[in-house]
Amino acid sequence: MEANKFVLVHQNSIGASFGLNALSGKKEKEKEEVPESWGKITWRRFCKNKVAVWSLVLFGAIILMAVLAPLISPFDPAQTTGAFDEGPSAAHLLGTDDVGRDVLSRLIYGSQVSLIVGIGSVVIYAAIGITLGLLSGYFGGMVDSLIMRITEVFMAYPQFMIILVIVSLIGPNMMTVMLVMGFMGWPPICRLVRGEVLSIKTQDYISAAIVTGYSPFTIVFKHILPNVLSPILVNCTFGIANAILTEASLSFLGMGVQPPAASWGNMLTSAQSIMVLSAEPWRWIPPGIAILIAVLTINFLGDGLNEAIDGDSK
Amino acid sequence: MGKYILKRVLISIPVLFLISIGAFILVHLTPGDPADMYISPDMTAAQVEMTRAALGLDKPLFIQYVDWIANFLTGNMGFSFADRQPVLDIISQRLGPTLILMSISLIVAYATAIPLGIIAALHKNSKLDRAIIGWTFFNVSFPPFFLGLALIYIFAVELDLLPTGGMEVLGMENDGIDLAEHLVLPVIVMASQFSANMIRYVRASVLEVLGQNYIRTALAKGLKWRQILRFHVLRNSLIPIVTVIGTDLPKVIGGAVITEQIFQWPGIGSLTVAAINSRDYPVLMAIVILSAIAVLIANLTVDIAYAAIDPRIKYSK
Repeated sequence: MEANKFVLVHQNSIGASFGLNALSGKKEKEKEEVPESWGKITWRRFCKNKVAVWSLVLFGAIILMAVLAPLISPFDPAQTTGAFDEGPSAAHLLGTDDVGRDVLSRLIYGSQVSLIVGIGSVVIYAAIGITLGLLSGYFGGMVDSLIMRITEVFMAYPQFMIILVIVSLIGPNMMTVMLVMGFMGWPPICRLVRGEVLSIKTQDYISAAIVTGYSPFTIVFKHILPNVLSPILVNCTFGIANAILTEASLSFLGMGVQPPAASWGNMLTSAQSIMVLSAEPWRWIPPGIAILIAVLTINFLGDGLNEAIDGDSK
Repeated sequence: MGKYILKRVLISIPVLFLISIGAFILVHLTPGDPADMYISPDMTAAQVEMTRAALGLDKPLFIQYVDWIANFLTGNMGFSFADRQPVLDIISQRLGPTLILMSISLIVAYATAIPLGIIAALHKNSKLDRAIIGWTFFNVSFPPFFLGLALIYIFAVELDLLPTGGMEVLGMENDGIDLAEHLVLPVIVMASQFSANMIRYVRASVLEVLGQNYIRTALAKGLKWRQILRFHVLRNSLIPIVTVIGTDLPKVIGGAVITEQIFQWPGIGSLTVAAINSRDYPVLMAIVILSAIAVLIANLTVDIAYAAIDPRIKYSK
């Protein structure tokens, strides 16, 4: 619908022959109008959304915190540097945990784990999902039904439970969490890409490419992929938020990043005891809020991106 | 319709088969021999071999799979490594509490989400709409375990209003009030995760229906807005809800793991964590397969229900 409106506006401004000129006379028109690039338009729309912009700033701050962790954290996150179970003080701003590790330093280093696992697993599953989705949608037939059956099998296992079981069986650490989440998470994006490809495949420019004699590889990766990138981008943004939440949940259950390595999730593990929960809130409230902020900002970012790409739905 | 159902069921069979192979491979790829649990260091080599033979571990993997699946289909899921009880018994003991928690959570989630979604759509872009949408973002971003711990901290520790966990006070006569008190916090944690998705879906769906031509027609022919809402908008926009229920189900099963663990709820979720910690493979394998079957059945039911509710869907496709 939005696209129709857009075309209508163009037709009004530059004449009814626009449709016919689309192929032959487009360059001429561009000189007159100097249209903005897709990226610029999207960015301008994105900037109108204040929540999304603030989320971007905040998310940038989290990335900075992860990168600069060795410089800004006051202590070694894995070493005993103070008294056990000590409340916040001038030396330890957020107190210490049960073996005297500095909570603030662990909080800062925990951002590394969240970002690496969150982004890493999404990159893995996006690569798998995009490739299979393109193949499935473009070639159809046997390839398609085989890939679709496999996605059905993967999606039948309750996602969190199967990741939990596999990670615990092969040995929980940051690498396995990232890899397992990556290898289990691709079916939704595969289906998304497949659906997009199916609708793009019928477009004239794809038929033109086939007739011109381009190889299927070139058509799929050079002509189709760039046109399905925006929904993938939005999906991946939400995916990162989800992956951070999953990693934190696994580490919380003791099936993710193992102490002494610091992760926001495993910092909350000890709060399962009522003692820690009630008497030492400095140990579990800060990492909980850190996860909340990280996930919330990425979700807002994804939403802003979605709106910016979709055009103004308001 | 009959043909459609039959076809959907037939498609599910190879998927089920692959699911079972997946679970079998998963457990057998793990380092360590399942027989280790039964073998003590003072056994002779011959005794070890006998134990392995008794467990069927000396046979080729393929035969082991066939044996296992044949037993599984007749309800014999083996014995737990941890306490040597039949797996079927252990799981059926834990199923009840999980079903109670899940069904009440979903009912609470949807009972709040559907009206909120409709309200948000009818007041599109108002402050109320923004507040509801903001609330859904907050809900999906709140780590469930952090929410659970925070609720325990506030309502059980500080205010001392509700129990910290479990399903009943031990040694007391079981009554509804006791169960309800134990349900409040876990249900809030579970429901908050599932209401968000439904709110957004209902909102989008109502907005889509509001833009349809038949709504304009109904307005043009002079129907009262109230009537249009009731008979045209709501009826049509609530159909897609069925799909949300379908996508929520696998998440409910996964979400139950964390919620049950935090609140020590004696269900399948906390059993999963216990089985992982004690490397109880037979129990784990049964949980993985049964939950996958549950998801498959749920999806099937949703597809059929969807086709039954919406006459526009063709069965023959």
